[in-house]
Amino acid sequence: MTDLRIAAVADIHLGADLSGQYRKRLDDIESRADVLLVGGDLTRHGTVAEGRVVADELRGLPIPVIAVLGNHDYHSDADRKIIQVLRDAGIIVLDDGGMTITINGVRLGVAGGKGFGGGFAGKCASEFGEPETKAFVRHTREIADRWRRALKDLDADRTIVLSHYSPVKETLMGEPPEIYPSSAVICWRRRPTRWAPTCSSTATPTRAWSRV
Amino acid sequence: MDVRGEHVYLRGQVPSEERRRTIETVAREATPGLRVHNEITLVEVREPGEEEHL
Repeated sequence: MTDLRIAAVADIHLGADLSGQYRKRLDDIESRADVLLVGGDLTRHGTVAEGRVVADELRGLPIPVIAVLGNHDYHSDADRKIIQVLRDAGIIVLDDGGMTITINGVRLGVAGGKGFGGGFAGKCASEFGEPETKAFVRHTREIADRWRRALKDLDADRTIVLSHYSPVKETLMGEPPEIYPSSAVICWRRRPTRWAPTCSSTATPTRAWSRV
Repeated sequence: MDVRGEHVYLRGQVPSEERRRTIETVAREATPGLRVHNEITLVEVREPGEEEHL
């Protein structure tokens, strides 16, 4: 099967001060990658104005751009509008769903979304005790259920989960262990297979994961 | 941010000079009477270095 070259970046945190600047970093990306994955925290404070900067910086790239939002992108309660602004610019935005795109004859399936906290399989919080705890964990569980369905529905040669929060603890290597519970995306009840990081052709951290 | 005696050290990387200055301004406002050392640097744009084959 043809290899896919996947560029992955996250936490770009664009704002007006970087308008017209970030795009320069993507010059000639098509010679190095077949698809660009953007793993959330696209903005600083989640305003629509910042979302428009992101849209302008990523608009019209010669390779497909697939993105999810991060927690920063929710801060101003404008997440729905930001998603629309990005989609209007031709960016594929996953919001707890999945999609398949054919690149060089390879069907690439990508599922995901922002994600949330709660711990990892075998060591995650449960819907028990205080209402606040139950609400927190319920939100994570509902996201996990939507991702599980999205993954199940994918008919693809290669499968990637794209999220802002870490889907498995391996993505948190190097971070302080104390933040692991709030950085975990999901309690995978049943890991569908082995997960490993995608090949990244950018120098910035990636939270995109590819099923191998 | 590290505070050592009467000195405040700002470290890390940001993508623009404007953000570098903003952080220093906020730090000065938050630490009146202390000397702020802004050692924050700008992110260097480089060729992609890490590549992983699966």
